[in-house]
Amino acid sequence: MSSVSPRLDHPVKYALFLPYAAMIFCFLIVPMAGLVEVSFRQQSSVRITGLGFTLANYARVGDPFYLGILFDTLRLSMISAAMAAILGYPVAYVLARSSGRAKTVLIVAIMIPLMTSVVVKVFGWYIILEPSGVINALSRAVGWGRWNLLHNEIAVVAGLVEFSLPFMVLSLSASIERIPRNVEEAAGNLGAGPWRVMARVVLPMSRAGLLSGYLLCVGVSSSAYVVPAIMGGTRVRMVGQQIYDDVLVGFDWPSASAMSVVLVLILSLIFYAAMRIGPKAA
Amino acid sequence: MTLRGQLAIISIPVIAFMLMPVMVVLGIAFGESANFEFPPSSLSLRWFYSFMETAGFSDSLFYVSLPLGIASAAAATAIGTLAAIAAVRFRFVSNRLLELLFLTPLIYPQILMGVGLFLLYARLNITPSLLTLGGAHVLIGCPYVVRTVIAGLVGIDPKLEEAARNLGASPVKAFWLATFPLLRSSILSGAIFAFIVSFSDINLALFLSIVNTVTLPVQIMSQMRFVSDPTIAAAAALQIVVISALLVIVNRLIGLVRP
Repeated sequence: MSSVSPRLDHPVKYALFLPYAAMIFCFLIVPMAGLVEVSFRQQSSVRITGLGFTLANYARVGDPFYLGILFDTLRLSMISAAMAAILGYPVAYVLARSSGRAKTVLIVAIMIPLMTSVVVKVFGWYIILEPSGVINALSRAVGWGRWNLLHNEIAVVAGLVEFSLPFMVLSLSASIERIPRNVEEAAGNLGAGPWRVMARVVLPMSRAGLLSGYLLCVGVSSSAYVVPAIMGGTRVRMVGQQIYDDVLVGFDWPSASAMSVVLVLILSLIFYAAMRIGPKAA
Repeated sequence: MTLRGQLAIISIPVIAFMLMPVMVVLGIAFGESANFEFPPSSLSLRWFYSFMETAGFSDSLFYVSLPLGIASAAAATAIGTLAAIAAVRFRFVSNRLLELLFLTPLIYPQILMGVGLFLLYARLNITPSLLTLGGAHVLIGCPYVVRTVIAGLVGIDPKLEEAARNLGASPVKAFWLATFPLLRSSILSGAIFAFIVSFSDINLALFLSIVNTVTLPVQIMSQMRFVSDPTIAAAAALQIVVISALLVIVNRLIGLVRP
């Protein structure tokens, strides 16, 4: 944000900013601190927020079963983000290099799935894939029989890719837009074909957008609940489902808190590492 | 063929994949058939009538999701607009830190925000209500308001306000009379985004809504497993129709191309 008019310095700025700061404090910082505190408590049937002090909840995260959930979460999120990058790149390029009406239509087509509730989209997938759903109706019509298409990793990845695509496309196209068109033209005039321009000029120059889009997608996927819960059922388990079940089904709040804290730490670590080793974001 | 042309052809199936669940929901909801037939062979509004007659669905739309979205959008708009004005017009210790604070509610995992608040309310013995869910919705709506209002403020010619100052208006009055009226479409767009964010939220509502504050997305989620006829598709289609219409309005107001 460039300062158009000279920036002022007057105590009233704190008054203007205070309501937002208060919201962040009450609805984000205090609950997060509460999670950290509960994560060190022993589970108790008399006090739901636990008693005493223990590291057992973190030890549980190290248990092969829970470690497996964390591993699967990261694996599925990273696969989905990579697929979203591959599928989203052409769309992002077209969006970045369009103008006028075409651009408006394209951006609306990306914003609708972005802003629609994930539940609505997952319900769409559900009726496409379920045993009496759209695909199975087609399959039976041509005599291929009935398939169980839900409750497997492919269904979860399809859901996560669809969920991440708008984030990826918008992030990529913002960085492709910053590449001057005449750089591409220059490469073309020097004899490079369109795909060579893509591989040698556009792709390297949009690395920052690719990285931030990838991280954003890994972030949103690894904390997803609805997609794995509906599309994976009981066969695919991600961290979000485990936390949800611990809180609302098992009433094991200390364990859920520890899992939450671990998830935040892992995500922060990934982001920090990528920012250090990755290309500098423009 | 140009690079853009070739990539445009590749993009078509990707965009179709992106829009597929939304299209299928619309097709089933506006179709006549009760058997989840897609594409529909004939159109009808019967599932929308059925939606209106099913108390669980229509109550969650009219008594929970709509009032909740409107109220939290109003609060997020007030809070976000003030913060945006502060960020653009005033010098802070670090305006980068400020940007980070504006980004935090967007990137912090919502499911953890939900769990954290669920535990906090239980601990403080606060009975869950529309107000406790609304507070969380206000926070996730704020960044959208901040973004659109900052973009609006940066685009307004400061000479207008200077002229008002030169004519003797106080700084506040100059802002209110010269700049604020030009900011209205940005503020309204921010409010619409904040409404959409609340209207489509599931991760917070999953933890924070209770029996009499079931939002439409939560209702869809809980009915999905017992789905018997396309009434639930009509509920989902209403979400899509409302959100798409609002996006078109935002596009008219400020243009989505440069959000």
